Amino acid sequence: MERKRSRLEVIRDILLVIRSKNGKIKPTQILYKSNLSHIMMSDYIRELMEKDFIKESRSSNGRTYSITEKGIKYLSEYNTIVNFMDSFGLTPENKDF
Amino acid sequence: MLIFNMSHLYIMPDWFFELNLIFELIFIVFTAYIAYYAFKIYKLSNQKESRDFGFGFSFLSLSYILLISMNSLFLSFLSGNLRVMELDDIMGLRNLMIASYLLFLILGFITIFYTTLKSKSPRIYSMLAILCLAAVYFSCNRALIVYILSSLLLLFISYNYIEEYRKNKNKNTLLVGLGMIFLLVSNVLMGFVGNYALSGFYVLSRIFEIAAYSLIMLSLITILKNGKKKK
Repeated sequence: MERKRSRLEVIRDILLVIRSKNGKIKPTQILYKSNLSHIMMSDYIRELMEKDFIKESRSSNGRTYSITEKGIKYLSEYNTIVNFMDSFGLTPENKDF
Repeated sequence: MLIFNMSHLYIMPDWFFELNLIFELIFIVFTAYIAYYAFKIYKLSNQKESRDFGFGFSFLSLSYILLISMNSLFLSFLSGNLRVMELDDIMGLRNLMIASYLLFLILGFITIFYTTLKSKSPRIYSMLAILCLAAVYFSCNRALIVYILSSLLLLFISYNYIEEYRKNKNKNTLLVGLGMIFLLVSNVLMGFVGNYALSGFYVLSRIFEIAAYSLIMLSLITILKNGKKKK
């Protein structure tokens, strides 16, 4: 059985998906590739926008998301962030269920 | 060598004085560095747990800054560098510094303990802080109650880290857990020093304290080194 991802892992996975599309990605594409329920994905997207990791654009084709500099920085420092949080017992409770 | 600290005189061996000053400087640097890195991780990840951890170590760092300032001030006074007329001012300042030192010390441990609860509720933090500070304020022996409360908080913090290590088998977590246990021992010993005038316990307490922060720093350095390698 696949182990549950931590919140930090889920954030990383979503950001990787968005980055892989070179900037613009639709919500449904994130939903398929991130392996989350619709409600969970919406929660995470809202959180990522609040934290300024991604930004939303609206056009006649609908909503798209792109990764910000802060989001890219998170990906590049991901290992250090996770090691720090795990070592000091700060990893938040998993909300991926 | 008599050093004024809290409401009692500490009896510290003369030979240990300079070393004690160096130890306190090291405590300031180590706790400040851990706090700095926790805030940096917060800036990268926006994880509030990291920010709170940073605040915890910032409070500890501030408490050590106050301690070293207080000891240096009193040393100047005792060596006659300050005029007798300034005694009232010195005593007033000393009392303020003692109170601030105790406040930041207990706040530091409360904040670190709060992070182990993994709670998002600021009410729990407020309640913890209010309960502890009320106990200190209404106590006859404030220094002793601070060390008792700190020791209890460190007991739970240490237990949390040992449980985390059992779950994830992360060696860095074990280092941090051992560090917290050493801090607990240091706190317990320091509680005896003021009340029973045991100068040997003071030295032993400081040794455990420096060992504690060294282990936690070692954990942090390992994390940073591994982070750089994987890039």
